Amino acid sequence: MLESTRSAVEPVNTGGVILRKVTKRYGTKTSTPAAVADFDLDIEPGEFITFLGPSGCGKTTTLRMIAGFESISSGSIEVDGLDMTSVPPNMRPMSMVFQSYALFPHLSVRENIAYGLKIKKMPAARIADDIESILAIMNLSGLADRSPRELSGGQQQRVALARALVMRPKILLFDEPLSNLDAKLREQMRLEIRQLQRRLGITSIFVTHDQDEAMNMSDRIVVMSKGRIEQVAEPSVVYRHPESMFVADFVGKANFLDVEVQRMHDDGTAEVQVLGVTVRVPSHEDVRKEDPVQLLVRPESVRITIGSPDSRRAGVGTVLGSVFYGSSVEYEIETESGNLLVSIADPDVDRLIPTGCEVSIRLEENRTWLLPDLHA
Amino acid sequence: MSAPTTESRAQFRRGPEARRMSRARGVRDDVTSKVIVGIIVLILLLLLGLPLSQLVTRALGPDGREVLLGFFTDPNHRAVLANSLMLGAIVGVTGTAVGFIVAFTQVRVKFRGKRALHLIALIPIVSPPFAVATAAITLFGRNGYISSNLLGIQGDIYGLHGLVFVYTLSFFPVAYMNFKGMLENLDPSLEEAASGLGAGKLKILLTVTFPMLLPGFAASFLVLFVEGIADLSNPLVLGGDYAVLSTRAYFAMTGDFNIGAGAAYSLMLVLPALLVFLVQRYWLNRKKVTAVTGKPSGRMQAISAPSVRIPSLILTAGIVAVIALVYLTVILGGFQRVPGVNNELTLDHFEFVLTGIGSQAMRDTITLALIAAPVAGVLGMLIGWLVTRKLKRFAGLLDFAGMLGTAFPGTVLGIGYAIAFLVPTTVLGIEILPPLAGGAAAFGGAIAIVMVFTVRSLPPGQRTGIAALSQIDSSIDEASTSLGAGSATTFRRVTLPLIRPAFATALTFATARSMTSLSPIIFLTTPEIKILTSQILAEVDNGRYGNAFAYCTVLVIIVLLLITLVNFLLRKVVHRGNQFDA
Ligand SMILES: Nc1ncnc2c1ncn2[C@@H]1O[C@H](COP(=O)(O)OP(=O)(O)O)[C@@H](O)[C@H]1O
Ligand SMILES: [Mg+2]
Repeated sequence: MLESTRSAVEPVNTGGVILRKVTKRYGTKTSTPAAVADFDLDIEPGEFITFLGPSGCGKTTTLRMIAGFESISSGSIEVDGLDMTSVPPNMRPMSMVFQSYALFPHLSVRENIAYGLKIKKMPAARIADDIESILAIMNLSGLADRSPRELSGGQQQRVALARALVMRPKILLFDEPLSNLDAKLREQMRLEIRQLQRRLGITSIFVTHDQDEAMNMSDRIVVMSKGRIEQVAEPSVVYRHPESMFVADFVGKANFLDVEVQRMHDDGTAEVQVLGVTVRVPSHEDVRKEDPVQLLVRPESVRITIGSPDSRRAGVGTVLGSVFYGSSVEYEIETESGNLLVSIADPDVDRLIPTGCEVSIRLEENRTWLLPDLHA
Repeated sequence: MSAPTTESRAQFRRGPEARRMSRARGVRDDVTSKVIVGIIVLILLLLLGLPLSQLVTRALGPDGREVLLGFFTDPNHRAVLANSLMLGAIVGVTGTAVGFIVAFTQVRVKFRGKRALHLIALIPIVSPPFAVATAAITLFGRNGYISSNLLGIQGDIYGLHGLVFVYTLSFFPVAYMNFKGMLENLDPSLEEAASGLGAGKLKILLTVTFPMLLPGFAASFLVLFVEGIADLSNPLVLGGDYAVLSTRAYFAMTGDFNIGAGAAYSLMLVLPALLVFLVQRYWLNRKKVTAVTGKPSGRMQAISAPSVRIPSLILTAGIVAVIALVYLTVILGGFQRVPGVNNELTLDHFEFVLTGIGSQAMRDTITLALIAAPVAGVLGMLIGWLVTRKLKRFAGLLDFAGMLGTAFPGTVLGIGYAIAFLVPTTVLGIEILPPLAGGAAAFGGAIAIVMVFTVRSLPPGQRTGIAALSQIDSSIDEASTSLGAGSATTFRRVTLPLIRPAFATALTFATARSMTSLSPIIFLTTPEIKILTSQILAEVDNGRYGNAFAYCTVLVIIVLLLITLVNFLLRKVVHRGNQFDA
């Protein structure tokens, strides 16, 4: 297995991508807002990077500029130090996996996979070898002579991936490749793609609007909004220490509580007044004492117990309602700092807290994050 | 990232070389598209630009100017123009009416035998010119079966009324197909809404359905109007004293050898045809989109209300009876010694057609049509591909140029070709092409005939290509590009195989059209090359109707065999064969 892997796609330590001030404007009018503006990013060889953002934020456009399907209005894209501007898409060292899979309907699975190799004018014997090994890697061995329309969605997805991988690209590009699959299959494919990518070490750029997908798969996530980068960081950093309220809100569920800063400490923490108590919380570096701020509290970083506050560090609230998810239960709680969504994992189903009940609330201060409130 | 690893530095060192390579390949790919555009533009210039510019030049020369001025000063010339316009207008109305009645009955009225009606309505499309006209003479002429044998009168079929009868029967299928498509795509919810408001069937038709079809009426009228003024074969046989532009052009060219006058008459034919083409392209097509929703929201109910059903069925039955009568005359006439006069049965006519000159004509016609079809097909597909995939700003222009073959009447093309290609083609005094038409040219002038077939077959191929290509998702093309294929490779290995079935169907009909057309090639036939339709004309001219009928029957059988063969082959390749049913 390992041997065949090597012959199909050998791990390479190339595929670094540098985007410099990449901008895309559709149409010639300067009044139309840029679809992508001043996009700056260094992608390491072998990295799995995800473009995450709401629909229309420019993810696909950026990916297609890297692939060469869209021209860039200004800026530059380099691969391994090579400027891509004048390189046509079919000459770029990358392969793309499409949302619709884009399998050639008139060719069998084997012919689909062989397509690019034949264009490379590879000897027939090597083509046959490479196809066998990639079919084995992708668990497609029995399906080689079927037509694409005789395959399930997940199998089609695998063929599309195999067809891209067999080209030994330096870079793999994915545009929402899992969005046509059902939820179970989607999770399984996430895992498969990620494992394969790790094993082969191919630089991968993955576009999605699904934050779970981005969290599960990425080395780093690029969060985008309105054609601009909001943050580039590892998933845990994006989740725990988002750059902005937009990022915090887009990635995972977020509570924003009204707080008052009492003191800034030199170690990057701040003392704030929230839920009627004073706590010390980690803070974004842009927070100033006099500016408006919001405290990001993830629903799972809150402890609640029935009854009045049991310590000086606990606040008070009233349960407005609850939603049961099986593995967790979510309570909506009214507090003096705003409404708070609280998620309790593995709840005791016999002892759910009834609506209207007064609860004592304790924040896990280290898991909260103080952010400047730019909307205020 | 900023500190490059050894590997990536090694990559970087290989950089400039790799860069040069990829640039060169990239430029080549870009050049491929540009070269294809260049070649196509040259071909279109040769096939359309040159003949038409020569035609205009000759029409504006001394002989031509005399004729053109005549349209302002000479009542005779004006009468010819008025005759043509009148004929076109009347046929526009009658053909549209008949086409609509048949289409309406076919789509909306409840009855058995829809498939048979459809096939009968399409017969005139594949039938050669003269079939209807000659049959009409045999039936209604001076010694006609019906006029003299049944009614005992001296029939007079020559002139305007005869032409209207023949044209209506020959051209109504165009209107029929047009209305059939529209009626099938009408959104039934509109009629349902009206009937929910308590309107009766007839009232709904008059107030809801017909108004929505108005653009269809306009389009049919215009198309038939152009067919009516452009046709040459029927006025040659049936015109009598009724002179029209196309016959005038023909006699000027072949009788008086006055090329300038022929060109001038043709120019007068071009103007209305071009105008109609432009109106259809830029005005009606847009209207149609708003009038008919693409996705019907349900099945339209067949009408069984007697107030609608009975008149529709009676009218349609009458039309079917006339068609049947005409074509039975054609088939039977091929076996009669002198159709209508001496009805003794004989096989002489078929013997003449199948063994004598006829067999050479069949061979030549089929060969030339089959050479032109793939050329036209490839050209049409390439234009379609450039228009949908490659060009942005000039896509509309190229599409327009390719479709011009339908805008110019066959007579005009034929005369243009005769003018342009009987002599060597020169550019700036240097001869770049020998004569392509006429007996002295290579292959007995066959090249010019193939060229004119190509121009006429290009539009259907192009239209089909564009329709088929717009159904293929662009990500399929991009996937191929992403796997390393350049534009040309993608076209050859992905696009072409995917559009092949639609392509073959379009080509079949184009071939059939080439084989049954007369007006463009009558100016280009030579003693060396025999074309079926011009052989039929010769037989009709000499009053040998039996031979003409035998020719028609054989030609129809060839065309039907061709269509059946292609259908059969496609059915084997494509699983859903019924989508190619005519
Ligand atoms: N071909 C195009 N022409 C004009 N505007 C486009 C085109 N493609 C995308 N856009 C615009 O660019 C913006 C970004 O689009 P896209 O990159 O597809 O977003 P995403 O993939 O993040 O959903 C959107 O506002 C979209 O309307
Ligand atoms: Mg997108």
